[in-house]
Amino acid sequence: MWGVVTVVFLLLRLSGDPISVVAPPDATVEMIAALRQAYGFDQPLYVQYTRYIAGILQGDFGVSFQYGQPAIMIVIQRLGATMSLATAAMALAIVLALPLGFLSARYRDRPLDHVLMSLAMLGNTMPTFLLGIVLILVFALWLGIAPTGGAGSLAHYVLPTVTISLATAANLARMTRSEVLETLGKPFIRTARAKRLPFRRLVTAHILKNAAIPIVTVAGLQFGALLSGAIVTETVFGWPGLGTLVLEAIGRRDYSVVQAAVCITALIFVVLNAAIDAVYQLLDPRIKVV
Amino acid sequence: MSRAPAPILSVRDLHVRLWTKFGVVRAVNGVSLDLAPGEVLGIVGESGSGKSIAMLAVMGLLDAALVDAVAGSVTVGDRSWNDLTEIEAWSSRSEDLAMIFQDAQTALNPVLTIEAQIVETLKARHGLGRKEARARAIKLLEAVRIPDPQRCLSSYPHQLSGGMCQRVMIAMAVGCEPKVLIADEPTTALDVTVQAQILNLISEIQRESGMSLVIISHDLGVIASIADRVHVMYAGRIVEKGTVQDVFAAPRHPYTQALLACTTRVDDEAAAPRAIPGALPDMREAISGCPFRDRCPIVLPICATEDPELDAVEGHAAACWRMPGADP
Repeated sequence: MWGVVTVVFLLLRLSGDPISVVAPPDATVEMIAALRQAYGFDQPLYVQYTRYIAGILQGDFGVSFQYGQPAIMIVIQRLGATMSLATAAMALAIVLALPLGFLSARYRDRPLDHVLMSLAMLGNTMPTFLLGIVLILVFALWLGIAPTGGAGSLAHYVLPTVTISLATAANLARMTRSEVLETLGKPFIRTARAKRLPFRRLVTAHILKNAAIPIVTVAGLQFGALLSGAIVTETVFGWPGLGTLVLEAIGRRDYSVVQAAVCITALIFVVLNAAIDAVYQLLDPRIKVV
Repeated sequence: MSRAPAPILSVRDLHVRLWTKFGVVRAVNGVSLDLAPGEVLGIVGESGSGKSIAMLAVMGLLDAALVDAVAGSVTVGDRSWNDLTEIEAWSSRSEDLAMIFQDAQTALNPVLTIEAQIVETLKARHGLGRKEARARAIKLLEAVRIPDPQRCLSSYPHQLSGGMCQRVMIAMAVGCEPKVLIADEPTTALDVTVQAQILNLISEIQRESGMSLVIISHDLGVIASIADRVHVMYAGRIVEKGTVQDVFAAPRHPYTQALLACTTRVDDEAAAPRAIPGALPDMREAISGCPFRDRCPIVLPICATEDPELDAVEGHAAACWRMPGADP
């Protein structure tokens, strides 16, 4: 975490002078100097850095130039929108990917498998902006059954959720297929068949539980990526999420917002990884994570 | 000899062709066998002789993705299967058959406790409730001489030794109360002292329960110590059959003779083990004639053209043109 915090700080300082963006074009030299002083940019780098770290430790990332509010507040607001979208998309992706990946494995090299895996390849390679625009065109403009963009009602979730989840689901389905196939070749599956277990028990306890670890890993990482903001999708649908916020903040050299967003994202990744490790242990008793 | 009772397991003209990375292999070529109730049948043969594949086909446990063709018929008790490909890909053939495998540690699910694995078996087979199943599981573990059944139940396979895992496998198989237990090289992955214990255990349980046992092994000693009758397999077919005493004391097929010559004898230090020259024939081709002729020391002209039949008569028989009465 400290590494992330420091790198963000240094990179941002290299990116140019924020005051030149904040200050009105006709600002006098005195005004600029005053602004610089107000935000502490007149201090040497190490002083800025010490203040910055001290602030973070107290949960204070400074004030946004752009919004005049504490940066952390702005980030958390946007994070809510991103999180709900990411969670919806991930849930849909899992619901789609697990059964389809499993079916594909079961009917390996049969027509169903080829169709599903071709679709998965398509889902994987289709750029989200294209998919998003196509969806808007069909469902919002032609059929008029979903809003084109923005956020607010439940209906606003549909198109962006589908857009994000299709790519994720495609990836997960391919993963599920290969893991299930690998598990099917294991000797204990033959034992389970010899025991004449009910189909359901065979699939859940024996196949899926053993195939789960790599699937959970990929799902977790993708969830993390979604949480840091799906910039393209957010832009296409005008979704007020973290991705667009950061993009905007970088453009305006809104240091404190970028710093806050990156730190929160890093924190999310750390928490998520810990959660995935915890899930590993639940799934496989042979794994002991300290 | 008294009239043999109706066989509990009967296999007729079993053929199996499997996909491998080298092409389609004719793994089993016309295997027929009968197993009487309470009988112990040993099947010996080297790796690739088709002994495990034949029994997996009987169980209905071949990997459907690898099967090119399965033909023949299997009768268990009064139920028959004539179309062997027609099994649901996810379950095995009959409740009256159970099977234990080579490496018990990998044959048990690594992510479930022993309790979960035994209990699910008992639930599926006998419809027991959780509590009854657990109580029965403890009984079963005691029966296979596991010292601390309670602790064993809460363990995962990786926490147990190979011998313990094989005992658990046996307990699970016995819990199904099968009429026939098929043991596929049950002691191969174990060290020698444990091998003896497991063999004794299997033998005792077989005698106590009165079930029939098919034991597959490449180890002649294992077969000799446990089986009543023995079938010798070579290149996917049975080349000699008979009681253990007959076959081991007076082997008739040159392959069996060569196989026995491979073993070391403790009482005769001068007799060094002799390897069989050559290798198994290419199993991708349909073999015309005797499959052993290229390695056979007493080959006849007819061996290259016609496949000797295994006499259907009961008792000691070998599929070889040198047999008395096997005149072309």
